[in-house]
Amino acid sequence: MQNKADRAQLTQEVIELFVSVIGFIPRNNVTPTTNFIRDFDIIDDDLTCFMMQVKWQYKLKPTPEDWARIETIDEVVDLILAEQLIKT
Amino acid sequence: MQEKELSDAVFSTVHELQRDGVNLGPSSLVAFNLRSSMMTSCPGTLILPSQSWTTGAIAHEVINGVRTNSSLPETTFETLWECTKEHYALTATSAITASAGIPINKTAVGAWVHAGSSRTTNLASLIGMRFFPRTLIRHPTAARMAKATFGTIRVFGVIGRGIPFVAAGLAVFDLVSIGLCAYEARNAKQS
Repeated sequence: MQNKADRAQLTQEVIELFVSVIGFIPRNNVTPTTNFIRDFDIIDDDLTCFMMQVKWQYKLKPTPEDWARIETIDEVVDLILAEQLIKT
Repeated sequence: MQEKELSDAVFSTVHELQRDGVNLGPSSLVAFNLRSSMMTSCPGTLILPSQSWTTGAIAHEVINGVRTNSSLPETTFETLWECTKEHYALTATSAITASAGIPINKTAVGAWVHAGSSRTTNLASLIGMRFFPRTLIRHPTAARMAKATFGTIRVFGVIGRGIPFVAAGLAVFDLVSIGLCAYEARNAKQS
């Protein structure tokens, strides 16, 4: 139950981060299943900026393979949770 | 010198020459040739007795001046170098702008790279990502224009995307500026 709550909160944080970095996408249009590569017309530089914020904010050390497979908000959350699990 | 109408001046001169034994032919023909020559763009005209005037031939030749082609002045290496030094002392921003636009490998700086995305970024974008990730264009019209033109409304996103073009523009400006400087320096030396 606690894990679910953590995940939901983390998802909201990532969505907030995504919306604040990209700037032109309304908050309501973003859900955990949003594919930020295909669902919106976002330039490479903005996506890189968002992913770098995730990396720095959550102190992640993703491998290039981890980076390459992430396309949705849920996958970003999975990556953060996986790294947190490793650290604990 | 007394001012005369062209036909009168030609008439009197032709007859004066005739008295001295030089026959240019009918004064009306001489006047016609002079007028024709004046209507062209040549800078000056000479009416001379034909080469066979010594044998009593009645004729004249029209000699038209020719404009020389003004070719571009030769700009020596020293002149160009002096101008380049002078120019870059004044516009150091050109160099800064150009260096901000140099492509940087994303993997080398640990940035996110996805299949199909660009493998490079630039210094301006990296600075924006690190220090100003949420600095957005707030003005609605400017934001719309930025989105339509650059695909982003992040200030550093716009700078990052626009800077190679600005650098290219500055490079062209630099070349023109240096060229003009060298041209002026060369002309000043000649005059």
